[in-house]
Amino acid sequence: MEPFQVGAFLTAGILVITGLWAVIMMDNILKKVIGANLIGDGVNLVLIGIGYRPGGLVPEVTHQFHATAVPSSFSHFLAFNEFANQASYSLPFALVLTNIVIGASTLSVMLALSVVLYHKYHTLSVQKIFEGMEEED
Amino acid sequence: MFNSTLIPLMVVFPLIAAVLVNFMHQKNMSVKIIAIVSSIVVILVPLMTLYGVHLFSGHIRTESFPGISKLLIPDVYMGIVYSYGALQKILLALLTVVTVFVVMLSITRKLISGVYVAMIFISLASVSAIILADDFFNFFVFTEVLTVAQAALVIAVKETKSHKAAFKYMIFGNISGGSILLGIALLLGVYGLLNMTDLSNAIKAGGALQPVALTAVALITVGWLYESGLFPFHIVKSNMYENAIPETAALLQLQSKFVLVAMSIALLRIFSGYPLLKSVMLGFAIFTVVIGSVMGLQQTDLRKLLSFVAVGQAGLVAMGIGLGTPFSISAGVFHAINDVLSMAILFFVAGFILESYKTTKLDQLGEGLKKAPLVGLIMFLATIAISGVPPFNSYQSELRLIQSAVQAGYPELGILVILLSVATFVAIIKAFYMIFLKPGTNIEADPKVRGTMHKTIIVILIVMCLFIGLFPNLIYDPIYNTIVALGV
Repeated sequence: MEPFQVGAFLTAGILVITGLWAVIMMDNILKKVIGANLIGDGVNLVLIGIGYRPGGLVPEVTHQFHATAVPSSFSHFLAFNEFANQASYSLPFALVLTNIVIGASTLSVMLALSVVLYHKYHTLSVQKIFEGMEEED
Repeated sequence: MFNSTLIPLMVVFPLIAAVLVNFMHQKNMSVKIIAIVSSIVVILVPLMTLYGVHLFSGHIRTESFPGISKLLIPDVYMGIVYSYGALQKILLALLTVVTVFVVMLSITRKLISGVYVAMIFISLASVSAIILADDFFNFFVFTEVLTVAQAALVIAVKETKSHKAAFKYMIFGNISGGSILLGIALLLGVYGLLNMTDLSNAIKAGGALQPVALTAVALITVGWLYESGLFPFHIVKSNMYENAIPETAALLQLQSKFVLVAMSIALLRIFSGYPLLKSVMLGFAIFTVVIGSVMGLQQTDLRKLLSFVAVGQAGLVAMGIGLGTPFSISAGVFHAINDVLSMAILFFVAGFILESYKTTKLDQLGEGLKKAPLVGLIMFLATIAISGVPPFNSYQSELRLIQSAVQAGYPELGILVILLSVATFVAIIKAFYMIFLKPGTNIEADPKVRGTMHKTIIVILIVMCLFIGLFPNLIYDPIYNTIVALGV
């Protein structure tokens, strides 16, 4: 495992634990939302760590490979084996991109709900909001 | 395998319908027309589609060059794959029918327009994709979309309690979503694959599960518990059901149970050689059955009562799957199909009562049989149906569950099934008495509410329950054959 990957996984672990702590232990509704988002960020970092390869070629933007190329006729192309050995794994980055979009949509819904609850109870404290609801019942 | 181009339509078409009705928000006539046309199409597509697979972008199975890629299997799917067979057809047919019923009821309500119907269609697309997807990441994406759509359906009630329920659901959804994705990421790190069939083959080829893969199993199981509404997330799920419009709750419970089925089968396929997973599933299922039935018995509000009964029944489905034999898994899946029908009837009855009396608190209701004798009769029939009384459908599935528990060497679980049936019967028949038979009530029914649509829907659903009860093999045999073929 590369040092970058070790760092990424450790940071991801810290982000996930911090996020869980915020969601479970913090009373402020916005801090809960931020905590939930941190969990997603931590998972994204794990995915990035998995896809990392030092000095790896990026298949989508490099032009060193063509499926039918023969290195003698296209000297700037790499043979399949050579290319495959050097290319980084791009699938995790596609997953991260999708997860960022999903995270943004869930974050926006949670923030919108927080705004609605704040307007109703004039507090960001979850405990006070829930007490207010019990009084209404 | 036949490469069917119609298969993705089951996901794409509801999404297009959702965009259109959302675009037409507040233009009620346009929303109605689009919703009705879309409803007809979403019912027809699963019926017209031939069994087969759909390979997105036409990527066929390709050599994996194990020497370079370090993959454990010689060939892999290069793109997302959707599979459509007899089991998927049954699930999608039921899903679309109940969804269309809910859409029809929603468009008759003046307060609810485009956005609400759009969310119903998005949730339909999500559950369809979850049922069809053979790709783990695609599966995850649509569970997240489903969470947002379901939360939006509950938020639409516009009560503070529903906002609270949706907020809790979203927060836990974020944790479980992160858990599932982390599990997928770890599996991707170890095996380099996302396709479920390939993952299953690679795990079998790799021998004993590595510690990282075991962590992935645990993380995905946490997500499975949440998506299925099983213990310890049963409270979050039942909160969603009770705070949604009852007709929507009928749809939500159906979606949760079908996701439970799809996700359980996916987990059992991928980790078929890992027996502890089945034991964990069984353990959480038993907890859910017990807690769901006990909580259901304590409730004095019809919506709360039905919410806990729905959760308890989900536990029964999970119990069948957790027993882990092809017979018990088929019985569990069969029970999911039967239970969603009976529960849908009860939630539609709750919707009618809420519309007529403006409350579902049992102590305030009474003498309902004079106002709506047909609804009372159907509720009684649905109660005996869900309690496993012949000739209705749940009898067939509960009998198979008991038989499979005995065959698997757990006769005590057969007793648990009987106890849950009794508890369900007692809880709902108490509600039936208090709504329809109890003399003396201080609430008058709204004379304007005729509930023609409600009555039509519940009659259709009870006929379906009776039909499946009389001809169970029409549904059960394809399920059993699929489960055996999948090798779970």
